[in-house]
Amino acid sequence: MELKFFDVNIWIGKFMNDEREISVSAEQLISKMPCLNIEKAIVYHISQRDVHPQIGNEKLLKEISNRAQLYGILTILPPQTNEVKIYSFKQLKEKKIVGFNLFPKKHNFILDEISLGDFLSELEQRKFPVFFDIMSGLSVDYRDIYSILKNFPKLTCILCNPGIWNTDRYTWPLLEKFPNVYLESSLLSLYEGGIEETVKRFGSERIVFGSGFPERYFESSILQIVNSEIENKDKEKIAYKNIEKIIKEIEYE
Amino acid sequence: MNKYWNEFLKKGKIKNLPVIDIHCHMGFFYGSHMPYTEPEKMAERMEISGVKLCVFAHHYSLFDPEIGNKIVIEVVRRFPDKFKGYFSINPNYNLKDNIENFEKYNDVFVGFKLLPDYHKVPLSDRRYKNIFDFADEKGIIILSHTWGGSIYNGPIEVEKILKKYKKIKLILGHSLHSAWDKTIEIIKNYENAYLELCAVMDERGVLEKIVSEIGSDKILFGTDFPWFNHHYYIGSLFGAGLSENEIRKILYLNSFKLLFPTGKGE
Repeated sequence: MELKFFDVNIWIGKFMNDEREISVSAEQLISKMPCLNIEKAIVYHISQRDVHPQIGNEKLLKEISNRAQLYGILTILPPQTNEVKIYSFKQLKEKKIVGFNLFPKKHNFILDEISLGDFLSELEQRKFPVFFDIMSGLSVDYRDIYSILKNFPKLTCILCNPGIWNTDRYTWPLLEKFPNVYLESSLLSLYEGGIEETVKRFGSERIVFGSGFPERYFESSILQIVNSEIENKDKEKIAYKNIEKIIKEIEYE
Repeated sequence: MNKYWNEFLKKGKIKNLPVIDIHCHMGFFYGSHMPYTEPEKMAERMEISGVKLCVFAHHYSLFDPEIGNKIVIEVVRRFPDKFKGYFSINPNYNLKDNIENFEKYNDVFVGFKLLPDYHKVPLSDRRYKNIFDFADEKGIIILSHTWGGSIYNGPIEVEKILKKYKKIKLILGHSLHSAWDKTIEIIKNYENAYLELCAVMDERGVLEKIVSEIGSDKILFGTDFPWFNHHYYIGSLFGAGLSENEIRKILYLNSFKLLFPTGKGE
C-alpha cells in the first residue's frame, strides 16, 4: 500500500539560531514533498514565534496564498494589547488558515480564561483547532494544557512535539477525558510502541501525522508509520484522513 | 532516494542488511512508560526492522547492578542470537567481583556500560579505575553515556580517559550530545573512540555535519531501544542523505567489526 501524507507539523522561514542549517523556505519545502508522497502540509512561519506574531502571520499568509499544498496556522496574543490583526472566520477560510498556535512562555503572557477566555470559547464552539508545541518549551506545559481543557473541555487541541521521552503518562489521561484532543505523530513514532499502543488504547482517530520538519526528518516519521503494526485503514487515518476530517468540521460560517 | 529506502518502505527491512543496535536497554524505567520492555516482545519487534542483534544494559543494572546484571545473564542465555549484554557499573556500589563476573560470563557480556551523569561520578574518578585498567589491558568495549555540557561525562572527562587509555574501545553514547564540534575533534584525535547515534538522529542537520567531517567508519547505530523505535532512527539516516555504503557501515559493519574483530560471531 502506498500511503499519502498530510503533514501538520512544519515550520518555514529563516531560523534565527540556525547552527544546524536547517531553515527551509516554502519553495524548498514544496519541492521536497512529492518524492515522499506528502500531498499537503500545515505550516507556520518561524517569525511568528521568534520575531513577532503580527510580522510572522503576514509572512505566512503571503507564503501560502499561492501554494495550494500549504495550509496555515496563525499565532495569537491576548487581544487586549491589540498587536495582532484579527481576521473574521470567513476570511480565515479564504486564506486557508486551519488553526491557531500560541507561545505564552516565549511571548510572555498567561494562557487562561482571563487573557483569552472569550476567544477560546469561540474556538471551542467552532471546532477550530489550536496547535500546542510542547517540547519547544516556548508554548505551554502539560499543567497548562490540563488547566485549559478543564475550562474548555471540547476545545480541539492538537498536541505537537509532545516530548522527547515517551509522554503517555501525560497524554493518555487527556485522550481518555477530552474527545477533541489529538496527538501529532512524529514523536509518537520515535517512542518504541508509541503509535501501536495509542491506537490500541484510543483508536487511530486520535493521531494526526506530523514530521517536525525542518527540525527533524520526514523520512523518520514516514518509515515508522508505514511499518507500524497497525491495520492499513488506521495508517490512512493517521497519515491524512483524520486531519482532513478535523479541517472539514471547522465551522467557519 | 536510494534503493535501500524503497526496500525499507516496502518490507521494513533489507534481507542482506542486518542491523546491529549497539545501545539498548530492557525492563521498566522509572521516568517513562515503555510498552515493550520484555525480551520476548523486544525480539519480536527486532524482526520487523531487521535488527539482528541488540547489545543492552538492563535498566535495573544501571541503577541497581546487583539485580540487573543477573537478569542480563539469564536473558542472553535464553536469546543468544538476539541479545548480548553490557556489564553495568554503578560506582556507588562497591562491588568487588565486577571483573570476575564479567570474565566468568564471557558468553554474555561484550563490554561495560557506564552512566556517569546519573551516578554523579565523573569518568576519571578513581572508582572506575580498575574497570578502565582491565578493559585497556584486554581491549574491551566500554559504552559510556556522554553529553556535551556534563561535568561527569562531557568532553573534558572523555578526553582524560582517551589520553590515558589507548586500547579500550570507547563508545561515546549519544556522541557527546550538543557539543558537536568537540565530538568531531575527539573522533579525529583518538583512534579508539566511536560515536553512537541515539538522540543524535532526532535533530536534523547534526549527522550530516558529522559524516561530512569524519566519514562513516566510526559511527555506530544505537537507539536506546526499547525507548526509541528502530524504523524512526533508520529513517533519519535516509533523511540525512547518506549513501547506501554509509548506511550499511553505520547499521551493521562498524559494530560488527567492533564486536567480532576476528570476523567470527555471526
